[in-house]
Amino acid sequence: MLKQRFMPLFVAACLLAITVSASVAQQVVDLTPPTFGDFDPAALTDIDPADVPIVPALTPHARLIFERGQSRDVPRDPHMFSKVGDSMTASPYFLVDFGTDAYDLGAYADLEPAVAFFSTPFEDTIKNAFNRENYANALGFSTASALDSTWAVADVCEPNESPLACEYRTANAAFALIMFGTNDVMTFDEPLFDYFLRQVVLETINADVVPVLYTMPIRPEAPQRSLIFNQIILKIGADYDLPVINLVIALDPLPNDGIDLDDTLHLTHPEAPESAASFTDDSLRTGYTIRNLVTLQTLDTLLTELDLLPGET
Amino acid sequence: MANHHPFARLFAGLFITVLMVTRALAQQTCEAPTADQLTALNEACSASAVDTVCTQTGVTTPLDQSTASTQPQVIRLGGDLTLTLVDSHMTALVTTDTPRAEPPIVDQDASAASGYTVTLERAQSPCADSQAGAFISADGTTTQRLTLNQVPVAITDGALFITLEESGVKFFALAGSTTLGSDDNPLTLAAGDVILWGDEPTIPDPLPLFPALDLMQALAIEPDECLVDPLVPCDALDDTNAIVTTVVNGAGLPPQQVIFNYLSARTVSDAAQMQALSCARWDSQAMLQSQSFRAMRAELLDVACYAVSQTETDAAVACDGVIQTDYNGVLREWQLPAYALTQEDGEWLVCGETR
Repeated sequence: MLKQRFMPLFVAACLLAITVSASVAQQVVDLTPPTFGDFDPAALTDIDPADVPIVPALTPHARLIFERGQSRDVPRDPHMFSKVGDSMTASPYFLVDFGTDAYDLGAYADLEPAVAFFSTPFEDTIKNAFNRENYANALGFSTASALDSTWAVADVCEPNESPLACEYRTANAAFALIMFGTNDVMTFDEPLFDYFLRQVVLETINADVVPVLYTMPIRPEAPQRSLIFNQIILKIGADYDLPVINLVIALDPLPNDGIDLDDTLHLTHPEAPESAASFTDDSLRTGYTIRNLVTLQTLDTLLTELDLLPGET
Repeated sequence: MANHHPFARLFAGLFITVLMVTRALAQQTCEAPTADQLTALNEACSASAVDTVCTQTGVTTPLDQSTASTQPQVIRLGGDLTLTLVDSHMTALVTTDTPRAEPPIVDQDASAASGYTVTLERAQSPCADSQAGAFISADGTTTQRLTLNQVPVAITDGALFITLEESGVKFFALAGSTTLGSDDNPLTLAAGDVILWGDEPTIPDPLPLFPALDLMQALAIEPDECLVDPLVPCDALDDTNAIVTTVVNGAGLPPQQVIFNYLSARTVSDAAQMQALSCARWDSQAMLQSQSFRAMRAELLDVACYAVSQTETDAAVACDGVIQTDYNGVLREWQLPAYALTQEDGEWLVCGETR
């Protein structure tokens, strides 16, 4: 009886708390579209990737974006994520094998619920978030490519639709795993990368999709610029209060920082019969496997904090 | 009526005669070569040996014994590279940066442009103000490399025309694929592109005239693109002398030429040119598009654009052909969308695209 009388009050209090936290997040985060030329290099000086955890927590703004996605007429699908980025994101080594039974979590069996959660079939297909076709990643992709309708897949995307918008429309995913920089660092200067990445992030936020960023692997040809680009990524993550997977630090203990020195555009991967979806000791000494591990750990964290995993309350 | 002194008449007549003779001599000296002359030069030198300089009389001189000349000449280099100095106002100094006994003159090593180092200079002639030019052609599918006036040049089955300017070397891409600059920051040219390589590469504004088609054909050079209205393959032209470009952004250009220039600028990531060719609403998209192929080498392949509809204020342009990109050795062809243009102050501007 007492419980029943206090229940409406409790619900109201919860709603109020959610509203307040949401409005605080909204107040803190400036969602004004970026202007080219606004980049301030001085704002990067205090950012050291080594100070940032590898696996991020769910931020208040990310929670707010997720909740907005759930309140849409057609809610964003929490079982789905979009893979946004260059060839390292389009790679078959990136998460794909987790979409089938061809994976081995090894000592990380606690990630199984997260893998199962994202194994939900995509629409009426046998594909799922891990292995479905994405429309916002490709060889040679840069931050500019993601926004340029030229790169949109003709049979799927609408006229004048950017690859990013096309992907979010077709996948209806609640989350987006976004990694850029490897191509950009060799072609764009810092202001241009900052400008385009902010646009990618803003378009994602405005689509009510939770952006999950990554710091980029070091390009051996440009280690100093790679550091600056990672500072930019971390600054954008902080400005928009978003989770950033600190991949560059996760790769740091690996031979050659997890980079294939014969092909510096890409991470190393295990040789068959090992796979980047097998968390064995040998496999975990390669770049793609580490990226897969920290990605699953992050997704598990987000799902846990959003109370989306079975058994969570 | 004035009564002139007889000597004054004689002096005036002499003066006029001298003027006419001087002018005639000057005209003869500065007269651009004709297609017939180049055909004769090409035939006379068709069998000239590698590492020689050949003149219109068919006389050849080994490179290391050649002297500066103001006469048209064919310089035959290894690897099927040929330089044809067409207007006699240039001297050439050719050296090799690898010992002659140790080819390759053609360097297939992508890490550096080595082999021939060619320095072209304007001759000190009365015609020094005229356009000093040379054709460079490379046969075969193997990429041929040389360093030209300190600019690394790699040509694949193609041809260039170059001119020497106060501010640098102007490259006119005629056929095939050409890459300028070092391999860590290459600039790829497709037929129809013009780049002034000075302190930094720029697209000349206005675009200069290409050499006449019959001059190229006299040297057995077949350009891939004809920059005429409408944009069509050269072999479809009735008037083979019609290769001209008169581009100042979009001013006075037909819509299809604007789109062709827009696409050409896109392949070299020239944001300023693309934005200059765009309406205000398309400005940010032009800037974006100028950057989105930048991680790759891009070129136009068989691109020909044509107006599908046109009113006084609006036009729609479609293009045949593709943009081809090369990313880490992976080639990809991009179909071209149709473009919408609007006319503002007499200028056709790109203002959207459709599929």
